[in-house]
Amino acid sequence: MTPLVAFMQDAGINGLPIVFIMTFFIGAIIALVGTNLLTTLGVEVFTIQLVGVAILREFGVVITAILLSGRSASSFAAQIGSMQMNQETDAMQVMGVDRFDALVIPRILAALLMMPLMTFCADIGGLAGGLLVSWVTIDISPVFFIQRTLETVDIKHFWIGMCKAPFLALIIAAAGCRHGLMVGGDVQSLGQNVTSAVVQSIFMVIMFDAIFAVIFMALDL
Amino acid sequence: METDAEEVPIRVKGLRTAFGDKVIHEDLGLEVKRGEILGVVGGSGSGKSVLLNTILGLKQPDGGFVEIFGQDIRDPQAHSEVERRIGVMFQQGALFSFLTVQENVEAPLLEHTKLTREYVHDLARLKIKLAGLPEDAGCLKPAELSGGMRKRAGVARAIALDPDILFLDEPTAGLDPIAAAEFDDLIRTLRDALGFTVFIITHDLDTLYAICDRVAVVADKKIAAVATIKELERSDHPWIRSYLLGPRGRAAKKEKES
Repeated sequence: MTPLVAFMQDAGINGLPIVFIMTFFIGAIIALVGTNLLTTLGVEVFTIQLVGVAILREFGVVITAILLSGRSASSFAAQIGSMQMNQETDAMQVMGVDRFDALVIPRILAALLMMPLMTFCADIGGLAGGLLVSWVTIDISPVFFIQRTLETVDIKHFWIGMCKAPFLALIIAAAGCRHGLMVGGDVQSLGQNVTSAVVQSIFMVIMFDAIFAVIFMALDL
Repeated sequence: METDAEEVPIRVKGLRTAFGDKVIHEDLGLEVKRGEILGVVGGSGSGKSVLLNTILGLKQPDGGFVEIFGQDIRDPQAHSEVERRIGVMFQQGALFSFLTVQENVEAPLLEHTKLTREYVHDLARLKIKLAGLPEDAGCLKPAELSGGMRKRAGVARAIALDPDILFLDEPTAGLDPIAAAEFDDLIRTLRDALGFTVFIITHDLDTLYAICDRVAVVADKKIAAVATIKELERSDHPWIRSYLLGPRGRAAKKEKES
């Protein structure tokens, strides 16, 4: 139980501030670009909807996933990899402790449990960024922004973003653990595997997000 | 057959291991007798650690077989039997870095026994003391230990289940001569007290002279000789000659005799 809690703390809770700040900037950028474009058409009020849909449906969860890849896929690979190098995994095997149960399951579980919370935090951050920029540039009051978001942005966008979170968490944690277990005896392979854990999990996050986008489009959601 | 398996707890026969085209062992045979301390020596890259990994079942042999207590280690059913009766100390101790020393020693007990938590706790403390660690070492993390203490903690974990065979991979490497001699004493004391068989991979000539009952030499892809150190001195195998009769070998011998 304790390792699970430790991984949840490390991968999830400790990542909340950075996830919030990153999506805050993403929300601000979307709002900034959106107002510029939409003002020329005279419909700058749609900025609110643009920010809402983009953040809740796509950016919240994808930015979280990329951050989780960078923070946790790498640390999972490095932790398990250094255990490989230190022969700790050999010691486990000789003792009859299953490596999968002891090393992989708690990490995947921690990622699965924490990713939705992080995504939620990211959504709030993104909306806050959009809110601030709309307030400063086109003088939309925060109250009006929130009201308008609740009225025009369908809650389904939030759920679509949210339901991707566990899938992406699984991909990221599995990539991290898999590459950790592939580390051989030397430092070079540790470096290589940590790098490929991150690269592979970011690649798969983007790819699966694209597949999800197509599926949801086909389902008319 | 049963008594034979008890008298010869480790039996390796016709072992072949290879990495790709590179053959490490060819038709290697070795028998370890019950209660002895067997030292395994060999040049760097001769495949001592590979031999250990194969005996432990961490590496699959490409030919031949390994029996521990008469059980083929490739049989998964037998392996869980066997893993309860062996203890291993890897080169760097291989302590679980995320656990304290106390928890490290408790780990095999919790995995293989149904003892109560308090009993496991007390038993682990006893093993830590047996391995010659100070009492307060139990609550330290492996990273906070010195090299010598880490090896002792590795031994404490290896003897947690009262094994019948103790495997040690280069136990004295990286220790200063005083600590190495103390470690040798520790192994011999434990063997005398607990009566297990010890399989030591080592480079340390002092260890060979001080505690090993027999010495197996890994050379030319097989066990070139298994004999007492005295007999090995008379061997005319070129590697053994230069190993034992080189300046370091002579010094170790002189020390033993004095």
